[in-house]
Amino acid sequence: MERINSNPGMNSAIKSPFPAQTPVGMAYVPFQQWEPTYTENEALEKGTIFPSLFLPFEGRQEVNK
Amino acid sequence: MMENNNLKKAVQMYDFYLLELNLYLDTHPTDMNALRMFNEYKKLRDIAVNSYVQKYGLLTADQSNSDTKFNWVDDPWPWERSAN
Repeated sequence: MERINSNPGMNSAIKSPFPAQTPVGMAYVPFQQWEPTYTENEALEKGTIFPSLFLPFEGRQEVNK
Repeated sequence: MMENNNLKKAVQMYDFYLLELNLYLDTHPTDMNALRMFNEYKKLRDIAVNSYVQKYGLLTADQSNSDTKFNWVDDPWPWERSAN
């Protein structure tokens, strides 16, 4: 996660991930930023074109030692 | 048969890509990266759909383009054995 309130770069029309003033004690959902996307095949397999949205569930049975 | 599937897969891939870009553009309507890509993939999808339709028949009823017969009915119905 790059530094909060960092400048979103060239296209200023795009909001930064967090509001300019980010008071403590509040919940925030970072505003999605553009990023290089997956290739077509990979996107279809992973179910998204955005790497930051590829969040497979990795949970496994508790292995009792 | 192989090429049929490849073309169908290509249409599905482009449809999926456009849907994802659509969701992103809903909240980022002026993001030039997304918009450029969306327009690009729209063209790719149309090419894939047209080449599929010419070779293997219609994908959706609105592609029926004859003024003498509703040629959507020419392809086998889903429950007909030849359809799958």
